[in-house]
Amino acid sequence: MSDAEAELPAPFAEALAYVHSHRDGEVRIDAVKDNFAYLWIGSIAKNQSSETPGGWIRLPLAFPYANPHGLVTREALRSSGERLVSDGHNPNHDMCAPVRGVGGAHYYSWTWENAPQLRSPQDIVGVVQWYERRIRLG
Amino acid sequence: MRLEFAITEKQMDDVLHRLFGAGAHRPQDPERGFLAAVFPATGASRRTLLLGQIVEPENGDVYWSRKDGLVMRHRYYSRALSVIQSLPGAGLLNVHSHPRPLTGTSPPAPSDQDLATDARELCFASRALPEGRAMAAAIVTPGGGLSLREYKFRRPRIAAEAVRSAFGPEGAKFAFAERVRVVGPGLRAIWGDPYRKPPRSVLNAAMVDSSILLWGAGGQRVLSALTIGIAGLGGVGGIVAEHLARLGVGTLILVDYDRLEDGNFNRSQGATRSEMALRIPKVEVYSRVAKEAATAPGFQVFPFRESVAESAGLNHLLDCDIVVAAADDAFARQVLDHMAYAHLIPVIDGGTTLVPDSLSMMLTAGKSQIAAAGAEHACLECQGVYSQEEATVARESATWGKYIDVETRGELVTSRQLRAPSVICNNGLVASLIGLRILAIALRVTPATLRGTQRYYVEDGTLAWGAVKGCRSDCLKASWSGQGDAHFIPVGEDIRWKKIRQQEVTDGTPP
Repeated sequence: MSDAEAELPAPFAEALAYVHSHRDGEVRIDAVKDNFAYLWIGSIAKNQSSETPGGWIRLPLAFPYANPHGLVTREALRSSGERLVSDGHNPNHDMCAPVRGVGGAHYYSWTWENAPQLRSPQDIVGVVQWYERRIRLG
Repeated sequence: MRLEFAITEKQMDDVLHRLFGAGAHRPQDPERGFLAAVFPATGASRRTLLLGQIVEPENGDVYWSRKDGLVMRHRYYSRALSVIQSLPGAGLLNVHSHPRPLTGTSPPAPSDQDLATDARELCFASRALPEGRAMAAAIVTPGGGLSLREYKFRRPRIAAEAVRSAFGPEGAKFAFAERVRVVGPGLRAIWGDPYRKPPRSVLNAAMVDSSILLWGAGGQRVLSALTIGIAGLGGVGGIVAEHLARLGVGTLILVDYDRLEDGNFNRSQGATRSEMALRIPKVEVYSRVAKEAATAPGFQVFPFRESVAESAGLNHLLDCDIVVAAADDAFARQVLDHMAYAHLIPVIDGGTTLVPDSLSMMLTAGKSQIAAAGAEHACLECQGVYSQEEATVARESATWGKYIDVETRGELVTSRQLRAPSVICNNGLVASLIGLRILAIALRVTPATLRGTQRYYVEDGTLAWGAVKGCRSDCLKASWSGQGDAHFIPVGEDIRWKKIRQQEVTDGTPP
C-alpha cells in the first residue's frame, strides 16, 4: 500500500479494495491532487485488442458522495469506430500534471452529470464500465 | 470534553413504549430493560453518545428478581455483542427503567445495585469489543427523564494485570452525560446528571420582556441554553448572528474564512467602514456585532476562521445544538447535510438566487429558499438545495469552472470567481425566516413550520411551501442517522480557502 493509499477515507479505501478484487490488471493510486485521486486502472479499455489499455480516473476522495470527473490517458483514445475520440479531449491539459511523470498526456473532461447515481463504494466497478462505454461512444 | 446523549424523538417514543407501554418485554416486572448499540459523535469540545440499533430481548433474556434486581442474561449480552461487533464504531448501551417519578424529566439516579451490576457486566462485555468502543448504561423514567453514564475500563495487557482489581469492574470510572438532546423534527434538551443541578440561567427580563410575553421565561431559558453554529458569515449569516444574539441565544459558534471587503459592504449589516478598510475577518466582525447585540447574560461567541468543508471547521460545528448553513456553497451544504443525520444536529439552510436580464439588467427572476434537514426532516439534497454534481464541482480546483481573470491596467491581477447578484433586503428576508425556523424547532412556537422548504418567489412576491415533505425512497441519509463518527462526512480541501491561506502566507498578512 502506498503512502497516498494509507490516508484515504474509509469509503474510498473500500471502493479501492473492491475494484482490486473485481478488475483484472493493475489498480493503484498514482497521485492525489486537491480533492481528487488519480486512480490507474490498467485494464480500462473499450474492449478491442488493438488498443493500448489503461487510464487514470479522476476519482473524488469523497467517493461515492462526490462524482468522478474526467479521465487521463497516455495515448489519444479511439472509439469503437476507430475514430479519435474528440468529445472533451484536452491534450496536455493541466489536469494531466499530477500523472505527467508517469505518462499522463490526454485529459478527457467527462463529468458524471446525467450518469447513474452513486450510492455505495461498490459502485466503483460501474464507474470503470461507464468510462469504457464512454470511450466506445466517442 | 463534556459528555451528552442524543436520541431522536421517534427513538424516545419507542424506548418509552418498550419500557413502560404495551411494548414492554415483561409488563409484570417493576423494572425493564434492553441492550443497544451506541455510537460516539465527537466535536471539538463535546462528545455525544447516540442511540443505535436496539437488540430485541428474547423470552427470558431480561427479568426482574427480588434478590438481584433487573437481570440481563449472559446469552442476551452475547447475542447483543455479536450484533454490535458487526457495526463499525459501535459500542454497547445497557438501558433499564425506573418506575418513578411518573412525571417530569428529572434525571434518575442509579442505585448502588445499578452501579455494581452495570460496572461488572459492561466491564466483561467491553473485552469482546475492540478497545476504545463506548460502554454505557442509561436509566429512563416514565416521564422521559434519562440519565446516562459512560464507563471507562482499563484493559489488561499481561496476565498479572488481568487479576488486579484496577483492571476489573472495581477500577471502572464513569461520567454522566450532562444533557440529553431529543432531536427531530424539533429539539428538546433535558438535564442528564442526577448529581449536579443544571446551571440556572439568569435572564435579563427588561431586555427580552416582549418575547417572554410569547414564550415565557421558560422559553427564554431554552434559548439561553442553546449553542447555535453559523456556517458562513456573509449577507445572510451575519444578520442571523445578530438576530440570534438579540433573541437571547446563549452561545454562538461562527465559522467563515473570508475577510470583510468593499465588494460585500453593501450587505454586511452592522459592519463598519474601518473594519472594511482593515479587511477584518468576517467572523471577527460578527463576533463583535453579536456581543454588542446579545441579550442573554453570559452570552458567549466563538469565532473560527476556517471552512466548514474541511474537518478543522466542521469540528467546531459538531459542538452545536443547531447549525445554520449560510455558506452558499454546495460542498459545505453537502458536508452539513451529512452531519445533520450522522450527528443528530438539525441544520437550517438559507440562500437566495437572483437572475438579472442580461440586456436590461433588471431583476427578472429569483427565489429565496429556507430548508431544514436532520432527523425526521427531508435532507437538503432531496429538497433540491444542492445536487451531488454541484457538490463535486465545488470540490474542483480553483481554475475549473466559473472563474474570470481580473485585470488592472492591462496586468493580470488575479482570478476571481464570477459573482452572483446579491441584495441585502433578500438576505434580511432569508435571515428572518431562518430565525423563525429556529424558534419553531427549539420552542415549537409554530409547529406547522417545522418541516419543509419555504420559498419566496421574487418576481411575484409570494411565499410558498415546497412540495417535498420527505426524502426520495432511495435516499440513504436516514440510514446514517445517529452513526456519529462511524459515518464518513465528505469533508475535503476547500480550494478557495487553501489559495487564500497560501496567498496570506506569501504576503505576510496577519491572520
